[in-house]
Amino acid sequence: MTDSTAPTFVGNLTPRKRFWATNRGTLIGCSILIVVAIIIPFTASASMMNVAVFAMIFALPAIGLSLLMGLAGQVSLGQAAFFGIGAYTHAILLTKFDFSGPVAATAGVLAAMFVALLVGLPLMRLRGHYLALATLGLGFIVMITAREWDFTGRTTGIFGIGRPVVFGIPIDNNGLFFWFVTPFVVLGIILALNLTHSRAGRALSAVNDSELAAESLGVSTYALRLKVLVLSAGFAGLGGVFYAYQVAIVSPQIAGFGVSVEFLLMVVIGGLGSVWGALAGAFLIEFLGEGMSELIPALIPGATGEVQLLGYGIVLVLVILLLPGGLVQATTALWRWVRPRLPGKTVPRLTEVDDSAVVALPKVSSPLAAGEAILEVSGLTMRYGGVVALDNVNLTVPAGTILGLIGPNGAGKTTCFNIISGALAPTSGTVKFLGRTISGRKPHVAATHGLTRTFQNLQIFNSTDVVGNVYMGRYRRGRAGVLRGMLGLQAHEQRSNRSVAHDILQSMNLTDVAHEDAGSLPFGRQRMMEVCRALAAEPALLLLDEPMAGLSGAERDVLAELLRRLRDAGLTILLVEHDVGQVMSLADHVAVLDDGVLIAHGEPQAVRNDPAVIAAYLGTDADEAEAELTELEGHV
Amino acid sequence: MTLLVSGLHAGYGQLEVLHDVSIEVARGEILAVVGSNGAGKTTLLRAISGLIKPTSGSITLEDRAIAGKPPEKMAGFGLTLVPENRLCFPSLSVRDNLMLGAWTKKGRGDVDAVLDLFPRLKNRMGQAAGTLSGGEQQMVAIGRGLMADPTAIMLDEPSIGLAPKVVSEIMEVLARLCSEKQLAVLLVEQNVRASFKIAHRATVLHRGSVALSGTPAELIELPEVRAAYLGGAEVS
Amino acid sequence: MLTDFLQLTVAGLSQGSVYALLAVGLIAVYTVRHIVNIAQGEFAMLAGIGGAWLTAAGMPLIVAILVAILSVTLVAVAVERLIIARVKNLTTLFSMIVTLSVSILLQAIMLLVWGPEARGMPRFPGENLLIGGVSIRSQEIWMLGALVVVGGGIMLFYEKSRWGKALRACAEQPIAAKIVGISPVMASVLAFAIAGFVGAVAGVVSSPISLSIWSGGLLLGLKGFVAAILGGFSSFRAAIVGALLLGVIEAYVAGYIASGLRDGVAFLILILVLTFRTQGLVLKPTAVRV
Repeated sequence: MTDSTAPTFVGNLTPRKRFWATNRGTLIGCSILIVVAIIIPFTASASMMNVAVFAMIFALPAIGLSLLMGLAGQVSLGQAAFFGIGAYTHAILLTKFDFSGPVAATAGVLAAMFVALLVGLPLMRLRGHYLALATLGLGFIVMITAREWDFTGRTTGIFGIGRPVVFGIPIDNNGLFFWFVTPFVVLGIILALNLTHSRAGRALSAVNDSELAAESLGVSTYALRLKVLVLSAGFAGLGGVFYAYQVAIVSPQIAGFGVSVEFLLMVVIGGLGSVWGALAGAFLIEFLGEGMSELIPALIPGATGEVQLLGYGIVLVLVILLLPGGLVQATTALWRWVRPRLPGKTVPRLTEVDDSAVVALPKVSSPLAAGEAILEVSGLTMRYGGVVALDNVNLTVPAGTILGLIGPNGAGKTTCFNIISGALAPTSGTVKFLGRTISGRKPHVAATHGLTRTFQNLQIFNSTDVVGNVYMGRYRRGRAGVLRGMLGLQAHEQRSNRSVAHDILQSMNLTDVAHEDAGSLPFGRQRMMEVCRALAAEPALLLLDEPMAGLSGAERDVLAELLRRLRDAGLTILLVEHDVGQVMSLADHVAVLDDGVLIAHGEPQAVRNDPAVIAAYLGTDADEAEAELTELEGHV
Repeated sequence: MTLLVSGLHAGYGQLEVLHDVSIEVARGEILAVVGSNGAGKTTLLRAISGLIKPTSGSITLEDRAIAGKPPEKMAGFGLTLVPENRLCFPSLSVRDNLMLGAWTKKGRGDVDAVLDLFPRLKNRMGQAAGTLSGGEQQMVAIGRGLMADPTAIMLDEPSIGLAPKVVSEIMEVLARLCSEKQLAVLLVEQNVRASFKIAHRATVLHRGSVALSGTPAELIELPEVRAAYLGGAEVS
Repeated sequence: MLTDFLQLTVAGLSQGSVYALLAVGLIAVYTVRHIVNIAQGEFAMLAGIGGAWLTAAGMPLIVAILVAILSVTLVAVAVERLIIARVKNLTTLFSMIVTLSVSILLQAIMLLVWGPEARGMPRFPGENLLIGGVSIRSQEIWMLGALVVVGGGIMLFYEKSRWGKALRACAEQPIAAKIVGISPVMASVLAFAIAGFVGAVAGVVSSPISLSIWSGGLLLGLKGFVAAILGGFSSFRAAIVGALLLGVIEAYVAGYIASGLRDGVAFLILILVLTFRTQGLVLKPTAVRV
């Protein structure tokens, strides 16, 4: 599988070739789908046609759910609620108010999205189990409302929905209906795939790896997840519209739990988070359902009613135990097995590194003149469970300087650091960055204004490669949101950001591992990568949490040198470090915490000679410690 | 040798943190393992106690091979760990915390012996462990470890977040414990000063490997360790 | 007027007792394993249907009750050992899907073995009471009694017994629990056994009034969830209070407004709690509070 030709730089290709290269997968898949869709009505039997139509209809809510579960990492047990809302709205507007087809359909989709917005505003703050249960509850509420309300026809529902008429042709058989639905499904797939590869999609993927790190790079988890929820409801609503047309009756059951479970099953069988998987899952489940209603009564005589239930339960358990990644996992494994055995030409490798360009220091922001206060900490206090971790800490950091925050173990350095970066809210006191109060607000707020950080325990994005991690750092410099992402209108922005990411890697000697899995790097290089990622955001203030820990002597020198040069270029740096000697040589100012109290703050020499600092740090009497410190300095 | 670790390699996923680490502790002796952050000290204790599985190497406790065995078996074998951040059971009382320490002995452990070592706990027996101060929680955590009547006890940075006075109190107790009960004590510490005071032997871990070994007196003469002695600078 | 109100209150409290028992089972499993057991309601239904079938086949009531409770407890343990324990990567998502599939499987088994009709166990022995015009059915007394005895017993277990404390330890500090020698396998099995036991009691004691049907587990389980959420998924006490409140409010809505809206109450409360106060009725959240 090796090729001897040098890789071609993406920027050198023509726009047409570039488009093909980045969208190859989507285009091939959609073309195949379209071809198959055209053929099916001619070749399938009547019952197969039935399966195919319902599969297409259900593919829409399934795709929406896969975006929600895979991309937004949220469990929803109530996708049928939005499906039902779309169906009911459309049906009611058609039958009771005589709206035209397209208008009623649009209203149906919008109604679903609107309810999702209403419900999502409070609920998207919730985690895991709670959100799942809330969506479950939502499904029941929708079903019960539909069942008890006269307007929605109570248990009978809405019936007598007419057939759609497209360009004068009445869609009155399964074949035509199949062709009617398919374009929408294809469009949906394209939008969903675009979203997955877009800035918003990567941001959500990053959140799934490490919400902490993503937030620190400016990702507003809540807002993004809410948008995906609304989007996924839109998909479901559209599915409901088609369902209403196909079945011509809408009854409360369609918003019920059983339907939500079916959607869940489709997504899980297809492979969580995979758009194509959702489509495959929809076909598989419909096919299975059809097959089971014939097979099971044959196997178990006298079994009637909801026999699919047994099949679904068994299939679900087996998938979870044996093939949790679903069909996607199966096909990927198959492909990996088959690929080396195939004859074929090697594909020219593309790279995003332009070797001919000259590499500069990563850019930084300097919104303030050197010396002006960029960070102001006042009266910062943190109390929890009777312990006072920080007691009335006051600190000002001038722009364009390096501040070292030191103190013995358990002094409150990390707590202070976490409050400044927004990961914790203080009990009282404020932190102001560039004049804005950032304390008590989520990390992404400060991040959007130019504050980034690294993590002592490393919060890398494991699901992407090294350059992918650094590329995420460019998030706050991008503009494209969910809408532009879906429409694929951000190629230029993505490209320029990726080349900046590569430049930064080059300046830190990480180019050789650019495409390695981030998780496979040795600790020291992972730390460097994290620093790169933070720098990619072009910050004005960089917070470093024990950046030297775990680095070799040479690596430390490189990092220290980089920090000095960045400081000279106008970046403000605040670092927490255990390594006193390192901090003394690097920092312009040093602040010392002991037991939550700021006991010294000044230039390194002054702090180093402060008796209070010596006593606190070394726990001995001042003279003896003085002598030892001199020795220490001598050996460093 | 009571606790013998040889050729240990361990890590997290693809990342190997410990490379070929060998240490040994005998009954009645305290081995201090020091090193800066990221050196692998906690990983070492996790690997020995079974919380992570070593990739290769052997660990024996009084001639029983324990490498790779699940952590819940260790107390029964005679090895307890006093973990980083103490990890007391917050809503349970001090008495219950200690009682659970004797889980492998059906809850029948020598509470009086523990209270003897830590008289401060006598007044706190009914109090929920989560409401105690850091030092008291450390005492409960150590006491809990002792309730299983272990042969070897390992402590992960017991001095963190504690005032110097409390730290020396605890170190004193450890020294007493070690000699009275003839325990093998493996003490992982960042506070070189405090741990060297009571240790019989010491090992310096640096980036996952054993860098230096010897008695505290020997090691203190070395410039790198002198620098580290002050709890600040790095062994490079 | 007043008698109606009191009548509804009694009905609500007894129904709430059933929810409370389910909530106890849910919290028991959640605190140890961080799994929301979607199949909890099915444990109740299984016991009810099984018990009804046994008594219909001639078994004396008391024996049928004991057999039903014991069997369902064993089923719960089997579910834990054969299915839950085998899932390699138990994320939130997967744990929900696994318990969901167990729920579906159990429903399907009930449907296939016992058919689609509802069955009810015979009423437990006892007299109906008439206090000040308010009639309290004997079965309702049994339901309230079950909460007091079984629910109270479980709480005592967690508070006083060695294994109960061990379960709390596992919930609060899983690492330290292992260090101390508590086997995570035993803890998980015990938690599920408790869930099965408590669910079975709830099913058996409510079967004479509410009847048991293969599909009834879901709704019942969901109401148990709401109660568990009111208990912050950690406090038995708060969950029990929440469950009784839920039962009572449901009764009032059904009695005074419309009976069809009864089921909607639980979900409305659910959404409200999750929107405004995720810890429910719990005042100070800690890991496990008995």
